[in-house]
Amino acid sequence: MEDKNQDSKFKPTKGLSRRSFIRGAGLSTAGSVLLTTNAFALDYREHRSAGEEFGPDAMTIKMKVNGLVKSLSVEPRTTLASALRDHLELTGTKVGCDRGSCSACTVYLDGKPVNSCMMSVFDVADKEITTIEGIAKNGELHPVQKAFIEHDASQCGYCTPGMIMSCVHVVDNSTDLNLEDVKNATRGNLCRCGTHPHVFKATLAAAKKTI
Amino acid sequence: MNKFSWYEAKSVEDALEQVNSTVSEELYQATDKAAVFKSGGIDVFDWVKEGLLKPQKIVNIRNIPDLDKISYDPKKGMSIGSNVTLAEIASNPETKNHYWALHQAVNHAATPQLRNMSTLGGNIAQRNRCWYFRSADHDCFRKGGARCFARQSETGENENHAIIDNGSCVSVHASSIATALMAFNASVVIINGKGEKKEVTMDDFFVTAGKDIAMENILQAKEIITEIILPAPTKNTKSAYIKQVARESYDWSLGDVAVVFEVSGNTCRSASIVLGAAAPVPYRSMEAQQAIENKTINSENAFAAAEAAMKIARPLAKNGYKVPLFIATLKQAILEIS
Amino acid sequence: MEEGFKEADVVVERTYRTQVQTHMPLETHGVVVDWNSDVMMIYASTQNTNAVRNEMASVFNLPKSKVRVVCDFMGGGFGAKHSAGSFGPMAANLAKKSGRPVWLMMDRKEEHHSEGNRPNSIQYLKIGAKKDGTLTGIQQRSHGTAGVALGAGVGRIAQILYPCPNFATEQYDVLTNAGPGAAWRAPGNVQGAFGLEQAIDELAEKLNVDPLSYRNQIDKSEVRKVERQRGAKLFDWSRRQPAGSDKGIVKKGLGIGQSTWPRFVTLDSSVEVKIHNDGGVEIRSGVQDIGTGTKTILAQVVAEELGLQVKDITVNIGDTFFPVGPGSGGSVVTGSITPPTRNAAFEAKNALLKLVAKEWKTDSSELFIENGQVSSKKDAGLKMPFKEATKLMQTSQISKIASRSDDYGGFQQPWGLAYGDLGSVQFAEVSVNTETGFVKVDKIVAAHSCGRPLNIGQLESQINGGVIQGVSYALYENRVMDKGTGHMMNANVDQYKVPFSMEIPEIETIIVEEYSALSSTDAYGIGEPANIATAAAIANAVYNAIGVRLYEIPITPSSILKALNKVS
Repeated sequence: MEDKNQDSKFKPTKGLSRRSFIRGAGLSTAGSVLLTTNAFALDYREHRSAGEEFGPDAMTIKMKVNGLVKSLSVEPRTTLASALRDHLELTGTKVGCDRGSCSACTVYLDGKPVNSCMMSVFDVADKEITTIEGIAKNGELHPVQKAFIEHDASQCGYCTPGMIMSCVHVVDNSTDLNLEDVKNATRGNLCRCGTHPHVFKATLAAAKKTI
Repeated sequence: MNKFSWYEAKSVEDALEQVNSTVSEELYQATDKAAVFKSGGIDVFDWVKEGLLKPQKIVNIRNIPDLDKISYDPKKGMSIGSNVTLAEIASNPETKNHYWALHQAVNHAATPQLRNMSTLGGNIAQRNRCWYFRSADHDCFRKGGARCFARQSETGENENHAIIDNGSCVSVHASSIATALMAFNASVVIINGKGEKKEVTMDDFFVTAGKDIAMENILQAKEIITEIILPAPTKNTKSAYIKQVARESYDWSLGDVAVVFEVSGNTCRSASIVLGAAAPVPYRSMEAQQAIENKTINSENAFAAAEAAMKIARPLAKNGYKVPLFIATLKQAILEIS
Repeated sequence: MEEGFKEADVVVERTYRTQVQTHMPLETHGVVVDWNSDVMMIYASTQNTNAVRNEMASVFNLPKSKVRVVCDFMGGGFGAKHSAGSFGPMAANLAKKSGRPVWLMMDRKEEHHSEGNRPNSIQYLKIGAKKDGTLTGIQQRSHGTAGVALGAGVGRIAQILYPCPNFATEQYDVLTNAGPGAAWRAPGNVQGAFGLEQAIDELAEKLNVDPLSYRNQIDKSEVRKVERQRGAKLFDWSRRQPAGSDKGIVKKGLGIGQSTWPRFVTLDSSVEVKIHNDGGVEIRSGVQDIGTGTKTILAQVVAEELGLQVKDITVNIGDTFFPVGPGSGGSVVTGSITPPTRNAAFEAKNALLKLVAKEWKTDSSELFIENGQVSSKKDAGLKMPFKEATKLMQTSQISKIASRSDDYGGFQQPWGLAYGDLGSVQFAEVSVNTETGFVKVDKIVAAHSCGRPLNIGQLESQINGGVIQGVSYALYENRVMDKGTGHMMNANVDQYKVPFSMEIPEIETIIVEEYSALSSTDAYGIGEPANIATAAAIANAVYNAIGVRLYEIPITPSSILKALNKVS
């Protein structure tokens, strides 16, 4: 899973898939990334960055995502959502409103759900990111993910990654979960298809491990 | 978003040296050369994404040490660092035990995700959510323009707007937490570029639109909030907070009320009553306070106080409903104390 | 028409207003166009691969065979994503000029502004009935604006839900310089039902009969009769009190709303079923999955026909290089695409069974497949795993393509490819706070028919979604336009209010199975029927709670407090 060589991804390839193209498109909007030679490592372990100015041009930083250290070339204005989707190809994280109002972009920052669209990738620093891709462990889906499949808890699926992030968090951090708890945990997650009843059912089922 | 550089501030002094403007100044008169603070970043990035704020530099104050402490002392009260997140306040047991109205307000603010990101300093310093103010297509008073679109009687979409003090700008303050803080007579600690520290009450922190159309609070460019202090409650302090929203899950307030009473038995000895989303800044209702002080807390007196609060209301074309809404809400909040 | 009203003993004459509602799919409209090769390759977030292909071929004067539209997944459409829009040709032009693929997705504001909405409506409705309840006349006149587009009519629901000897309708489109309307889950009918179903309730009240009993009298639909019976029982309609009689600040109210939707069919519905000689089974069609679970039901139908498990079937759809599929609109997909899918699977199976029959020296009509085994009706000892059977092929695959044929009984509706009536009846329970004006929908019971249900989980999901969007329409969402400047003021997610978790009512569904034996699956869609009656049922429930009727949605604290004369 780890991207050992970031640069190799940026080489032009033939027959671009939609996904790989989107990643490339994000980069092109982020300026002349490939021309940046004066790369500075904002290393999450080794370097305290306080008292320094970065950007506005792209630079290489390191970031811990789903347990792996990744380096990527980004600008201060690059949102965490964009860094994940366009630079690291972690497209499970969705952008719905781009203003922190729909929570499709939910990831964990040091274990806490946040809106990755409303923060700069520079906000991450030495904190650890978990995305929807990091929820399954060793190829085994989380009980909430299994329950979502079992209870048909998605329609178009676009809110599903964010919804699962909210539901996994509440299941993993609660005892005796009830319907009110699940509703509270998903207060910020927009599902335009209206699939909430099955989301509630699935999450409660996962919590009770009755699936 | 426009391109900007990122300064990672190491201390309050360091941050104050880097910054040269406020978001409010820049929104009023854009120079596109501003270096502005960012903590949780929700409001700042919102403005930048809308293209209304084009900072040259963002000074990140989120990681400055010691601004993220929260402490409670039975004598001194509570100190909340400006970088403490809303989630941290929401889960703090001392807040729940001693400042119930604040606990309620914080728990009803935004979404779980945003509460994990938003800081208290940023929350009280955020700008209002008037959709004309937030629109790049509407050059309103607050942005240095020549008119208020919302107040137009034929065309203004003002259902969410102010019913009190709405003589110039008719927006309402976006922070519902500020409503509760003001009711607790909280104060804001501000440090300036010279290292001078001042403590101002919430009542003095906010600036009415009539006084300065560009600002919603007193913060100047070379100033930073370091903490918010709540006085210690007595054993007779009781509080309540209710926020009315169109959408319960999460929403901007249509009208919120914070009530902090000193009681003896079921009598209100002194009252602090603040209305949110009623005026361009959180509004302390002296009328309601006077009406309930030294009265028994019952339905009749609560209603009288609520009615007194609304005497000065001057609704716009589409927000007349806020008057009965506030009356019902304030009455209910007062009765929650009994 | 005049004769009808002359005969009437009671008349209800009202004007109803509904707001503009934007689709706000969580994924906005957009495409990636790659036009480097001979073929224009379009990756689209669309609910109609075929229409996008045809539009792009037409705009660029290309043969359809040189345009390929692919949609693996898409984040919601609700009617707005049938077209290549203006962004499609723009992206293609840029791709041509730059020689590079072009990604063009709307942002949220652009999506609200330009990518579709349900037009508003101002509906005048006059309904007359005799003392015994017999309808004598229905007159409807509506105005609505779909902005710069057409399509603001309020549908046929007032004409067909309750047969009436005298009916007249005038429906006007008012053109304005606002974003174009687009199909939105049962276009017109949702607006129309809001007016009609409230008028019927008001008529029932004037006739002094229970609104549900009155519908029993004037509604000729057999399926809705069953739905009313079962729904009323589950909902406990008998606890309904006279309007406004509930005591206390928060008042409860119960209401009912009904709707109809034709069984639409698109004949441009073709499927290829392949059995590979490695045992694999593949389905191919241009049809896309808008999120209703089309992929799943196609696999189910083929698995059932071939005696295999759903997991054994690979579904490759949403690609116009495959046989043409229907657009996901009009609730046509299930009724259009599952019959040819079964038929293609049936033909492929027969071809395979012929090979086995030859091996076993018997007749293929004696053979069948069950639990992954080819077996014989006559000789229980004969068994062959499906995978083994596929190895009997001389070539690498069996491929059969089938298309949606005309139905056995033909299409009954003279005006289109549809027949019959999918009925729905919904019951709403609301609480109204008479001091603050807040309305909460506590419960909805939704009784629906859609032929043979194929997948209960997905069916429930569709009904839940239709109901929740109906709740949203009744109480929350509204495009706020500044009339002075012509701008939409709430073109975002936080101020364009739709329900999140706390606004979701308890929803109970009733599926009435209704077989007509007019196709090889006898299954139909449910997406649209589920959305039509909700707002009407809620409005009737609100009236029942407070005793004052609201003729306009969304119903907000402001409108409730005004209705209760609490706003000076």
